[in-house]
Amino acid sequence: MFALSDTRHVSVKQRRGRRMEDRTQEGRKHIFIINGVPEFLNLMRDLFQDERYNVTTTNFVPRSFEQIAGLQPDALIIDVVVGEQAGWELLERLHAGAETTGIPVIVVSTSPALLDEAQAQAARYGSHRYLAKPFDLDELVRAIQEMIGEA
Amino acid sequence: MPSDQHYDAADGRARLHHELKNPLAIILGRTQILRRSISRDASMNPAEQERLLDSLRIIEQEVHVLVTRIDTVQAVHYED
Repeated sequence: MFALSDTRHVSVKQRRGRRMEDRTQEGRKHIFIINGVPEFLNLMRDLFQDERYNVTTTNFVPRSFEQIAGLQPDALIIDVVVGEQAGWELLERLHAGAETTGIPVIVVSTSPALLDEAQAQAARYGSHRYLAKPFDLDELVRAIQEMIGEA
Repeated sequence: MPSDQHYDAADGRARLHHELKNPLAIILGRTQILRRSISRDASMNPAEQERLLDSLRIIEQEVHVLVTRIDTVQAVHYED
């Protein structure tokens, strides 16, 4: 399991060895980011905190639906990975859930083909924005701003 | 997971491309974070600022070259 050793955060909720990191300030829009690569999460956290958003990150997908339903973030950034079901299952549950279906999602992946497939199955996963990694950070920020507005 | 016969046949190659592109995404992202910081630094000597930004542009260009090569290799294998 990944070892996140970032000491910059206000609070760290540790559950069964997985970590969800949450740094929030009143009045800011909230982005929830799921990715299996700790350094990518750190990058996203630095980017969006610099842009004055609240950021929650996690590397553990299976409990993410309950966390998202509880936190009701303004946007999600979810990674879908070759050979792994968890990201797809989460997308389906979010789309099907009454309390989560309205949360806009940016789906990212290292595989453009996976993104095309997700986009083609909007009825199953929902219609969102799709970005192939590596992507330009300004493009990601613009996408978030278009979806939920400025921080 | 969406079914695709190419993934059944080349899952190992797909995973490799995934393992290559994630570090490249981090390198590119961190380069862009640095570019933002340098561009905003009003106290920096303009010539030095431009020199550093030039270096970062070169890193970004090389990352894009690598990504193109990875995608090309991936496309060739999927045609096999």
